[in-house]
Amino acid sequence: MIDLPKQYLEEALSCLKFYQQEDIKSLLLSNENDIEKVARIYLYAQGASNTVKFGGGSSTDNLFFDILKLEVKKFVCGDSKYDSERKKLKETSEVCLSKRYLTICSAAIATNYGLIATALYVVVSLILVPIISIGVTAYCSLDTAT
Amino acid sequence: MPSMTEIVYLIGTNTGTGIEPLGTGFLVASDGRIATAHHVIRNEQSLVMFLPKTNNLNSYQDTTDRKCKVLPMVIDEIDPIRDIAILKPAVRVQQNAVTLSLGSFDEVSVDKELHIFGFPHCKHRTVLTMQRAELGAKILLESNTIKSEHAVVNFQSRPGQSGSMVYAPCINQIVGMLVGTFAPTTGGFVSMNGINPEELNQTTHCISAKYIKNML
Repeated sequence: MIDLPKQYLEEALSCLKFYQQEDIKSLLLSNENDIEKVARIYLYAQGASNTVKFGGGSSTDNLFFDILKLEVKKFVCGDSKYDSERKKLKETSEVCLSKRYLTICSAAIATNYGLIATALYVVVSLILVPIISIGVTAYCSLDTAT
Repeated sequence: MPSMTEIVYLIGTNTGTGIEPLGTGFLVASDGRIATAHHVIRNEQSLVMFLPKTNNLNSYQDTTDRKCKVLPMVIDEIDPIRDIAILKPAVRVQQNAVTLSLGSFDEVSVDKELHIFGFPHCKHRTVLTMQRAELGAKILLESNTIKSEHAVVNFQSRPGQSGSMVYAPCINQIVGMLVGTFAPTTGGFVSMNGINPEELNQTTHCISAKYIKNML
């Protein structure tokens, strides 16, 4: 069982709707508190198992978790790609787990990938928890592709 | 009771070259919010709701009439675990739409009659259709270890019906939403003319409307 950064997780959960909070808590419990695994599960979840769906178009998932994580890193670490979106966070440029920050970050990434911000919001909030818990400066200095 | 033509709608996407029907949705709030299955709108951007051509389900729906009027919609909420999405109008609309209240399968006994309203075969025609079936079983279905209340409804569903409204006349409430049909997803399947024979059964899965209520 992984030790959770409780304070930051609580902050992230407080930005979510009640039904989302309950699901994330349940997923953390059944996945040994592995936040990244839970974020990945939430991004790819497709409803009940053993159920064939009868609707939808031909579009396929065009944002994979590792790419999403990389885009969050670009947003957080000051990549020029997201300069204009970060300017919307006028009052503070500090990375934080607030509804405003999550909304702007999710919308910025969604726009780049032709997606809807609502679909990314919960996942982005989970990706940000370990980033904030180790410290943004430390995280941005890590030389990792994902 | 409001007309079902003003509660149940066809959901589609504007592809740039035309409107592609995706599935069914239904009104769940007086401000125009619509519930549908998440997989119906997953990865789609330019969502629309087809406006009804008639306000009377007893009138003849012209299957040759290809004209349509649509209202742009945006995603308001998503529950990917239970395959539910809530859409809202992208533009300001009249805020006094009349709908039915949301209940759950808790209030309906097995063998009670249910009415399913949707758009079967919506890729080929847009006919709002009412089907009558019984509640066959109350079941818990799992998605990534989370179990949710569903019903087995004893009828065969087909493409276009995901997101259909499940109405219980005995309590005059919306009690669920159609999300698909049972078919084992392990071990692969044989396709015959694009159809998986294992889908052709009367074990339609519907998620409880209580989860929709939680999202509003």
